[in-house]
Amino acid sequence: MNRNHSPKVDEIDRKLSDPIQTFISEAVKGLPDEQLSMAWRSELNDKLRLVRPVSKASALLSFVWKPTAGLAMAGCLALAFVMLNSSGPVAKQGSNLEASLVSAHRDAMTARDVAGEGIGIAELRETTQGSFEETWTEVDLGSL
Amino acid sequence: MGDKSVIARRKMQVCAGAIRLNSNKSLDDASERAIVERCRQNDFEAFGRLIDAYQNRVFGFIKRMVPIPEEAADLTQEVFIRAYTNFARFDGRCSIRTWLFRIAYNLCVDRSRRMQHAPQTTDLYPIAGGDEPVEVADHRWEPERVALDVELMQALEDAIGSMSEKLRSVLLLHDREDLSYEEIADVLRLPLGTVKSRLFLARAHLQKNLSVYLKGDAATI
Repeated sequence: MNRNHSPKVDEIDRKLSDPIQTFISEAVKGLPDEQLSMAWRSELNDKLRLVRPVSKASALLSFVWKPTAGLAMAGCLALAFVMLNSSGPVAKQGSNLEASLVSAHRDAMTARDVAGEGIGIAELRETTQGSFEETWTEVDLGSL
Repeated sequence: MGDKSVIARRKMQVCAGAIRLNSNKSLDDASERAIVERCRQNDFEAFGRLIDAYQNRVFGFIKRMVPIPEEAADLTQEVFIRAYTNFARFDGRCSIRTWLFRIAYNLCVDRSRRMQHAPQTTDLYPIAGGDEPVEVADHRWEPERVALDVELMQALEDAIGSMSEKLRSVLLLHDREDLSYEEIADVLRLPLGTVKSRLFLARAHLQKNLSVYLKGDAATI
């Protein structure tokens, strides 16, 4: 037997079609509609925006640009760090240069002190190939 | 008393027709299908149109299930928030209307369980004593609508509020929201026969509570 057409179902269908039942149904249908305020709707919109899913385009954009921006920032920091620390080796080279300049100056001063102006240290060394005492004569010593 | 009941019945019929004609803002099938498809693609504007079409009806249902208007408004918001966040789960086997009312009903049931009692009476308006007519201003009525016996409608609202949640839900979904028996069975997860039985009992409850207005009709039918 079809369940939808059993005697029990037919009986309930008949009862629901009763005029009094129909009258009650119409009365319920005539209940006034409810109206919601604009404030309610505005509040709902705000709540929906909070749970709004991020679009695929936005997600892809953030997936590409965020790491890129991070890497760029890291690169800038690394470069700044390198540039700040690069004064060490330059100073050492400078110190070597400085030392040689100082040494040359001292030699020049020594040469001037010994042989006078215009005589360089190399020339002084050439003229004094032997020992110092052997090249000097009594005349030279007397003139001092 | 008989004249009063006949007048009340005629007023109800006229008002029912006028009000439903003016308030029927639901979407037609083609529009609804298009909107549902756009909602699946997270179209916020399309979902807004869905809210426009169903917010008052969902609120009307929840407000008669939950006695506190502010709580009913909050639950109505929750219905649409859940629908929005779970729209991917809507498979289209039922109408969007059925789906929304299912969410609404589940929220009402959850709320009742939390409160540990089913909403019984509304008592939002003073109950008339004896045969004295009580004129209470109803701010929900719009001037252009057909004038209705306020006392009768209040008695009807009170009678609906006084019945159990099981009967009230079926009555509102069928007689107020025009859902079919099958749709109601889907929403409430009940057998078809149980839906019809509850509907009959709900109307019988109203008939008993509105007997004062129906005495004349019962004799003439």
